[in-house]
Amino acid sequence: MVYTLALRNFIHDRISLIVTLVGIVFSVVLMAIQIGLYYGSQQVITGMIDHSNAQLWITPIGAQSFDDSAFLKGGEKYAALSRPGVASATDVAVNIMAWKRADGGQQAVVLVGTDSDDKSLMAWNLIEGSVADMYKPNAVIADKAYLADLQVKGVGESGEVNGRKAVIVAITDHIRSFTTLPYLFTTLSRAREFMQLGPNQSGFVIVRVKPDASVAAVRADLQKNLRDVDVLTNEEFRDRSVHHWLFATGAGAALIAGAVLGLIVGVVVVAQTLYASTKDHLNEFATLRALGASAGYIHRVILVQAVLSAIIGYLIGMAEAFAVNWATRDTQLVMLITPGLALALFLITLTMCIFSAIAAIVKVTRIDPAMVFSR
Amino acid sequence: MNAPPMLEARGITRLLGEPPVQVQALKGVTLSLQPGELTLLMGPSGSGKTTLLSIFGCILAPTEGELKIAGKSTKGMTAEQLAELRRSSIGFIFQAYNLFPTLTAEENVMLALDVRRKAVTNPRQTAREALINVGLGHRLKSYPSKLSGGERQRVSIARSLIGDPSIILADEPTAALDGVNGKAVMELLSKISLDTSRSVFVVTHDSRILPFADRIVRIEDGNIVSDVRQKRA
Ligand SMILES: Nc1ncnc2c1ncn2[C@@H]1O[C@H](COP(=O)(O)OP(=O)(O)OP(=O)(O)O)[C@@H](O)[C@H]1O
Ligand SMILES: [Mg+2]
Repeated sequence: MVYTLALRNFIHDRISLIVTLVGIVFSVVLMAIQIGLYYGSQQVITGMIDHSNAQLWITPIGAQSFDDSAFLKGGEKYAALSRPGVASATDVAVNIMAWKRADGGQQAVVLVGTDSDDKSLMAWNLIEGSVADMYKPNAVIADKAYLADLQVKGVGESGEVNGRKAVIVAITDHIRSFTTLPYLFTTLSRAREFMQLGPNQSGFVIVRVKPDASVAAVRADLQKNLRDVDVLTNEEFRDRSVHHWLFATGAGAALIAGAVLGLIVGVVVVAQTLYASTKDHLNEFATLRALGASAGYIHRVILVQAVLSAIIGYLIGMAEAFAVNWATRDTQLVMLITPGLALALFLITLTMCIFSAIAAIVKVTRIDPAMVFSR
Repeated sequence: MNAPPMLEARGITRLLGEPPVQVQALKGVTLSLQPGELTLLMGPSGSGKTTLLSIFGCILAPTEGELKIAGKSTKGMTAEQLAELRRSSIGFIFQAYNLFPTLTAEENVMLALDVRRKAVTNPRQTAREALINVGLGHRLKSYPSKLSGGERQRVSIARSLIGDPSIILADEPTAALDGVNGKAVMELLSKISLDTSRSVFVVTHDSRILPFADRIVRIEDGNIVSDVRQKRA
């Protein structure tokens, strides 16, 4: 009967029900979008690193992220290959360059030059053309989401990178950059030309170790024997990039603050409506107490109402969050709502509603059953 | 009267309100309720009737004096122990019915059964039978707002009886009812008080009720001024 009473009281006060649900839905949507964007940003930030087959990265000293780094001095690839335990070492050239648009304006781009005979870091998710098209004259590969920024409609159109012609030969999908600067893939040698690098110079060296060698040992050896470089594991490079973009810039803190705001709004609205509803039904709770209900019995009625609000509010909120996610799937906004996040949000919503019930529970705990008699 | 009393009150006093404006609502009441009897408590407004009923119902603690329910003193009991005593031994009938507006008649009775934690195989059936016994077999699925005052009070009686408490306490059960409905309610209370495992205690202003009682206690200004037994009509 606890459930029946809680459910009836819950749907009986329509206005209160609507306010509660709006509050929870708002809270869930805000949290889902903010945390979704946070995870999405993480995924975007580490996209290049995650799609490389690197075990170790040789980077210029203090390199903060894949997109934002200086050049190595040159020759690191061969220095690495000469060390024991190193199976392969591949140069990757990365730099921010200017793309000259058809209208004469400029768009900053991140040019990524890799060797395609080695699968260290290749353009992925191709929806038009192929990686091999990179070997055509002046070829670059761009992502669908950034074609408008480059002012090109598709394959075959061209612009200029640092004064040299560049032709779009293939299109990828969903390769976003956190900085919103478009990535352009090209061959290592063409990237060196665009960036005016020496023949043995690059931005990073991607290292794979031999099957019988330990990654940690190879890393320590490289760090000791190569000068003016940082040697990072894939994990460390990811963490550094995420930390740089999300925390050093404050972007991540803003997203987390948004999620916390959502949580606070949720707690306040649910606590307020649950308290108001409890007050409206105070005479009934006093009657229950007079009839001999234990304090626990009465608390259960309130908690069931709180849990009901949590479940319904969560379901509506998540449906909305997924709708927003779907509606923005082709924009530069990347939201990632994982099953883990969905579960965590459910637990947070549940906790929030139960926590919000405390005020109402304190209120009923203080009721004097003697109020059931009109004296 | 040789059966042990269902309820025994000795030297009950009660202060109400906060100092300095305290009222001594009861000034030393000694009274016992016998099984199988319907006792009426009558007295002018403000004489302490509701206060005494609340103390009998373990809803209000006496300032001084002792209350025993089924031979057991309530002294020193916690709020939870008192609640347990209420659900095992006491049934209330209120002037304002105090039914749950979001529950049907049947569910109102089932709720009380659930609160009392009585293990019955079919609570709905048990609640139905209780309502049929008060003549509401045709109103099982009605919400309180769709019932007349007399019908509501009969639901309230069925609710007080569910789970077989030994003491039924009613505060002005007929005050909100017209003559016909009031009489029907009293006939019902009179009928249930014939059960020798139960005492019925009714607070009232209503002198139309007098003929239904086995015993009439009068209270004035917090003191019992008369206590007479009579043969019921
Ligand atoms: N909370 C309170 N604070 C102070 N005084 C109170 C309080 N409740 C009741 N009283 C006083 O205690 C006395 C007894 O009240 P009680 O409600 O028991 O009277 P009653 O006989 O039931 O009256 P009625 O017939 O009007 O219901 C009255 O003088 C009343 O004013
Ligand atoms: Mg009264």
